Amino acid sequence: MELANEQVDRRRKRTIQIVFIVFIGLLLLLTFFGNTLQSLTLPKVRTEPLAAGSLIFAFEGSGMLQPFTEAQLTNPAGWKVQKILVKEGERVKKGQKLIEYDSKTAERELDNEIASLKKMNIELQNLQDQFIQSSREDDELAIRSASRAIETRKLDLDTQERIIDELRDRLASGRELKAPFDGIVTTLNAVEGLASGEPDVVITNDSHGYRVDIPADFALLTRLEIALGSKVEVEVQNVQEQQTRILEGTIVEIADAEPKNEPFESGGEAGQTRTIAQKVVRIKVEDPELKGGEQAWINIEKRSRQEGLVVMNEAIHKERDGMFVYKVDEQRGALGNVFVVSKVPVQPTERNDHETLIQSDSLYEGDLLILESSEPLQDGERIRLQ
Amino acid sequence: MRVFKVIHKASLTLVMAAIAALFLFPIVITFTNSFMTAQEIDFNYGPIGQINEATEKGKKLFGNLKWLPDQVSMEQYGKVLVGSSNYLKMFWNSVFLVAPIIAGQILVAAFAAYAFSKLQFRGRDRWFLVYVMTMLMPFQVTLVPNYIMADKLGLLNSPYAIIWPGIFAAFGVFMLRQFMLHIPYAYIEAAKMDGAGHLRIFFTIIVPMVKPGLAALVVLLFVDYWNMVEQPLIFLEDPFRQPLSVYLSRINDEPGIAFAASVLYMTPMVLLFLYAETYFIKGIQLSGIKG
Repeated sequence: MELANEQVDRRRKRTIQIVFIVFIGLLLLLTFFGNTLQSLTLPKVRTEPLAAGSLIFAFEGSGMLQPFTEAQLTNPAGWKVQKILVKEGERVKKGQKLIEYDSKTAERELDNEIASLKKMNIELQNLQDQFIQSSREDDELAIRSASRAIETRKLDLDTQERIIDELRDRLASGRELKAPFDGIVTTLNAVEGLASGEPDVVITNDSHGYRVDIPADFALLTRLEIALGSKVEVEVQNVQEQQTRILEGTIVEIADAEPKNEPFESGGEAGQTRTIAQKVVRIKVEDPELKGGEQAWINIEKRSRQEGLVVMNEAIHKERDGMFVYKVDEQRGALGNVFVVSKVPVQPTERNDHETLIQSDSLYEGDLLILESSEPLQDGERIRLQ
Repeated sequence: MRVFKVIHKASLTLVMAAIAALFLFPIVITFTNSFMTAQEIDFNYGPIGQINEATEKGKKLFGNLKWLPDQVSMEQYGKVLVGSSNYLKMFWNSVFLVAPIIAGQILVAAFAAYAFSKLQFRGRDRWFLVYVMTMLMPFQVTLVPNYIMADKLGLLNSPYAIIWPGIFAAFGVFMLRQFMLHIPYAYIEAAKMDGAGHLRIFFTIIVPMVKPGLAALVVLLFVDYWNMVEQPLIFLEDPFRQPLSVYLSRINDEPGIAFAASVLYMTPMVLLFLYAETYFIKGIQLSGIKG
């Protein structure tokens, strides 16, 4: 009886021992791995240390170099093209014939007009004869009538002469197309035997240099103090030679452009956009080796006058009361340090495409700011650093 | 007559069952409620923390005592064990306070009790009385001298300020002496005749005989020191060094995890008691002589 009791007792003790060991083991395990376990469930964030400094505003852009002056030569009289004397890409001199036009119709017209002039001259002689005749007869009335007829005919003759002159001029100018200046034929639309509606020849002048048009935000231009006449460095790359050169360019024109609509950054409601005034900056580059068609880059950088803390734009969030950032606070815990989110209101002063300059009393250089998180964050929440 | 006996027994059993249920009630409630969610706890026991202020139409609000959770959840355990490292840290604080106290006091008390009960020296009983006097005084009385001493010894804010007084506390000596007094001197005389020294007598005769007493002492010391609040509160300023008992006394701040924290807190005690229960009961018989 006692033996059986002892066995039962021993078994019971064994069970309690096992339970006790499991309990303590579990607590030990959780003590060592609790933080790790918990950190797996925490929102993961990407951070960046806060830096003190100033903002860099950059105006960057690229475009293709185009000749500064360009003439579109159209068919002057609308006649059919008879002969094309140049090829695309050909270099031409001022006054060089480019295209000959079919002028037969006009020539025939001129001949007709000359013939009618002659006819008019003959008729004039007839009238003069009539005048002599009337003088002899001493018919006062007839003399006056004849002299009036002669005057009228003379006027007609003058008109006819002018018509002929004009026709000659038209023939002279419309028969051919001449180069207005030294340049290169860039486009040739003319087709022999047809009278096209487009400009027959496009000729460009490389002696005035080349231009590149680059769009930019108006605000940025103002901030960078880019004005007419300022000099900029232009990097030019020849497509074939794969070789870049730095040339000096001049801003010759700042023209208005279509405003740009851009969605708001984080914090704004979806679908909302803001309008940004745009300008097109025209930069002129002169260099004897340029041929046009080269790729040109410009990059103008300027530091902001104000100094402060620079944060990435992604780190700034918006709410009704203003803007704020999420800072990582390190709280010393009994079993290691704990990272907690803290919300800090900020006053942005200036911003460029990537960064914003902020002023804040509770932020310091080196503070970690959260750029991205795996879940929406709340003030005071624990997080896991990446 | 027999019927009367049955009724008598039944009514006694009933009364005892009722009393047992009354005593078990808080433990069972704590256990079942430890599976509640934080919201449910807040909903049911929310007014407890502010019982004095929470009045509705002049009537005081009380917690709504619930047996079973609406939805069984391990949320509380998760929060206590994984969500906050404080709890486990304090659990180990408790362990590292209690374990050396028990080990030290058992050692000291067993030797001292042997001396006070089995050795003959001058003024033995008087010395014993002086020693036991410290036990008769409540902790609050010796608090100030204790504090000053700990300060002078440079032990403030260190666990040793609790461990050393714990090791040399008089209770163990008193209790084990009572046990040892019941061991007839004849055993020791017999061993002496066989040429055994004091150490041999102590380890081969006394210790096996007072085993139930040692077990009972372990349980009592464990319960006593596991539950201490005042000493750590006074001697340990750093909250990260304080044991679980202090943490539990502040559980009102976080009622959402109170039940799970309490269950985990009492688990080692319950397990220890269940384990040593037989010794504990045997210990009451006190004597080493059969029959």
